[in-house]
This record gives sequence, C-alpha cells and structure tokens, in this order.
Amino acid sequence: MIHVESIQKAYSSKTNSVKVLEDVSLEVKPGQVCALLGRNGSGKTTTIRIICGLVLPDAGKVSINGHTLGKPEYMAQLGALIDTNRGLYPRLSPFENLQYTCIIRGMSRSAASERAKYLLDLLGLWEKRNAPTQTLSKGMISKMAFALAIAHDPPYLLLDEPTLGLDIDAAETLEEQIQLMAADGKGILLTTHQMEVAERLSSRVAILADGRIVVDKPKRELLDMFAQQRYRIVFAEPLMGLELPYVFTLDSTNTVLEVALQCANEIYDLLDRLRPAPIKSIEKIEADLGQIFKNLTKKEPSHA
Amino acid sequence: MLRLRQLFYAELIRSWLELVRYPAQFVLGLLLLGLIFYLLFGFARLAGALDSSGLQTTKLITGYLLGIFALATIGGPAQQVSREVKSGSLENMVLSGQGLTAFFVVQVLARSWYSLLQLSLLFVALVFVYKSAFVLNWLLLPAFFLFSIAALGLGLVAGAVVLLYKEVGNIFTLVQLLVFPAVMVEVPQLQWFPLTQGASITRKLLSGVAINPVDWAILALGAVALYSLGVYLFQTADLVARKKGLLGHE
Repeated sequence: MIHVESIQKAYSSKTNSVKVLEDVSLEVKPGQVCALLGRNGSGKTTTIRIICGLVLPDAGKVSINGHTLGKPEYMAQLGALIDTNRGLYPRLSPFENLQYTCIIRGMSRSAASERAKYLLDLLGLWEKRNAPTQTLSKGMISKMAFALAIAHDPPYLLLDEPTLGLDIDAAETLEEQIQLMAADGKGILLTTHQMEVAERLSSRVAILADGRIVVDKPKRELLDMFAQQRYRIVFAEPLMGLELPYVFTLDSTNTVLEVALQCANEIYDLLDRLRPAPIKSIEKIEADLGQIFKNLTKKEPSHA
Repeated sequence: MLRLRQLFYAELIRSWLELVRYPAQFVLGLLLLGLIFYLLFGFARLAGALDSSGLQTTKLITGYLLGIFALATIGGPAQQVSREVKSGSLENMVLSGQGLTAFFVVQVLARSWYSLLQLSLLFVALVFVYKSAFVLNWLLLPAFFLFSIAALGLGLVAGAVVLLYKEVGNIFTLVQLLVFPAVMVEVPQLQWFPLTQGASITRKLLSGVAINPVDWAILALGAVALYSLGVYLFQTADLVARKKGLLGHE
C-alpha cells in the first residue's frame, strides 16, 4: 500500500514562501485506482513528485508496504508517468528505449527484451519498434511514456494526467490498460482534469484544494452522498413567483425545477411548499464527479 | 553492486548504439582533434618550444591527449545531466533507485570508452606521423586511473552546478579553458593540482623517467580528495534540487 502521511511542502525564495501542500494524507491500496483531483496549482503534481522522490517534503512520511521513500525497495515497487510528452531517449528506437529502462529497473537483458516486445505489442506500437523516436506521433510518445512507467511491471503506479492531449483511440487504449492493471491488483494513483476519465477509471477519489485533501472517499460513496440531495421536478404548468428556502433553479419555461436539499427528509417540506402546483414527475439527480468537484473546490471571489 | 553492473552494461549498449547511429560525430571529432593538434604543433615550433630530440613533441602529444580526455571526462556529468533533463529521462534515473550520483558516475565510466577509443586512434596516428618514441610501462595504468578519478571528481563538481543552476554553459567553457592548459603544459605552480600532477607523472613514465613514491602518494591523495569533493557536492546539489523542486526542470 502507498501510504502518504501528513506531507507538507512550501517553495521558498528570498522574498516569499508559497505553501503548496498544507497537510496531505492518502493511501492507495492494491487493486485500487485513486483519482487525485484538484484545480491548477492545488498541489497534485507536487504530491506525485514527492511520492516519486523527485521532490522532498518539508514534513510528513511516505512509504510503500513499509519501505520508506528513496530506499531501493521502495523505488522497485513504483512506476511513474510524470510527463506524457517526454521521457524518451531521442537517439534510441522505442524498442531500445524500453529495453534500456527495463535493464536499469533491474531486469536481465533477455527478460528486458521480452518485456519490451510484450509492451510494444500490448500498446499497438510493434510496427514502430525500430522507428526513430522523432518520427513518433504525440499519441505514440504518450503510449511509450506509459510503457516506460510500467516497464518493470511495478505493483504501484503514479500517473500524472495520463490521457492529456490524446485522441480518443489512444486515450481508450490507455484507459483500458489502467483498468486491466487495477483488476490485476495494481494500486494506481492518477491525477487528471478530465472528470469523466476520473469517473470511468477510479474506485476512490481524493480532492485537493488549497494544499489539503478536502475529501477522500470511495467513488460510489461520494456519488451517493451527493446524489441523494438533488432533485428534478417537472410541473404540468409554469410556476410563477416561486420562493423557496433552498438552492434552486427554474428553467426558461418555468416548468422544470432543480433543487438542492441539505438532507433527504427536506423533500417533504419541499412538496408541501410546492402544493398545489401540478407535479408531473420527480427524479433524484445522479451526481457526476465534475459537479461534486466544483462544489467542493469552489473558491470565494477574492476582493482587492 | 549487481544493479550498478547492469546499469554500466545498459549505458555501454546505449552509447554504442548512439555511436553506430551517429558515426559522423565520432569521425569528424577525430579529424578535428587531429587538426587542432597540427595547429598547436605549428605554434609550438614557431615559438621555438620544440627541440630536435623529439622529447618535447612526445610531451606535447601526451599533454594534448590527456587534456582532451580530461575535458571529455569533466564535461561528462554536466553534459549528461543536461541531456537527461532535456529528454525528461532524469525522472527515470531517480525512479531506478540507484541514486543520481552513482547513476552519473557509472554513466561517465561506461561512456569513457568513446573518448578512449578516439584518443587511442589519435595517439597511434600522431606517434606515426611525428615519429615519437614512448616507453610503455604498467605503471601507466595506475597513473591514468588516478588522473581519470581526479577528472571525474571535477566533472561531478560541474554536474552539481548544472543540476542546480541549469544555464551555466558559458562559465563551463571558461573552466574548461582553464583546465586544458593546466593539463597540457607542465606548470610548476600547479603541481599540487591532481590533474596537472597526473599528467606530469604520465608524461614522465612515457619518457622512461622513474617516479618518486612521494609524488605517487600526493597524486593518489589529491585524486581521491577531488573525487570525494565531487561526490559530496553532487549529492548535496541533488538534495538541494529535490528540496527546491528543481530536479528534472530545464
């Protein structure tokens, strides 16, 4: 299990100090895909880079299965995709890049060659195995960056925006692989700004805002928690002069009301208040991760 | 240790592939190095620094080749740091769990065959063209080893600076300009400098002169001290870069 406990990080210059992470704790268990979400500058990439050992935290602990950050046993269990556009040696072919990475991650030459062949085939890059790296498309480079991250078949994987800038086919291939790896028992921590990707892939969601984890729950639980409070009510006739003590919106025809309640029991009070308007239908609105994310990370406008 | 051997092997293969794929760099480099020596030889003759016995020519060739080797070794870590950062592969090096210092030392050692091959070919060509006479001695091996260790130490210092300050190409060129004459010519005031002393001992051995044990001891101490300083500064720069979040950024 990846265990991150109370990490803090501030970047200091001569003139000021910017706190990036205030107190971040999270866990990634085997077989779990944890989506780490946050707005730009919320500290997602710093968190990933700390877990990789590229950045040292000011305080806190990071370990994988009890091995502390930086130890060879820790590193051996970790693969990471930090930048989908980089990471390849330009003078080597895709096959040689993979073979080299497998060897430096501890494989013998023959095992590295086999693994390189397997990964190229798996990601649909076999045809390009000997092509100069400069001739690869952006999608292919991203797939190669992913292949390098999983080169030594690590039990834990960090993916920083893995599908960023990919076309639909390449993104689907990567998503499929991520799902298969999770089904195979690998623990994956991914960051993304694409909520639909997080919703499709993750089994757990952690949201970072202002350097803190504001929510860390199984995805289903999070969606259920928000879904039970929002309703859509359709009326047979337009509503006029509606006043409610809840947050609500009415569409342009004044016949579709969307209302957010604090708790499920308030639905009775709401129906009382709406009477005698003729109700055609009532439905619970299924929450989506994007909406939940917006609610949890919304910022008050700052005043100069 | 096993992992470092694997690493050495991987780097060896990688540098071989790069040579095979881009042979012009090797061949043109060889030609240019020959041309530069030809010019230096001409200047030395014009200045009246060469005698008829050929001893000075021998010293000039030795100094020149050692100077070129020192520049290649000193530039190795800094050049590799820049290349790895540019290609975004420095992250992979960190994730390999070897430690960046060990990784770069192994990388420079594995890639030194390139300079050694180039300089050996040049050595044979220059000896043939200028009809120089050399005394080959087994003691040349420890002398060259200590000289290389000292150069690597200085290379790690330069690598540490690049790791932290990135754009230092111009200053680095000036440092190389300082080191090259210090190795090439025997400057008495710089005898304490391990590279100067290593070159001086190598030159003497090639001329068949016996070396005082004290000189060996001073060279060994100086080379180990310079290498240790390089390792210490590189490790410190690595730590500072990780603290400041600079690692892997161009």
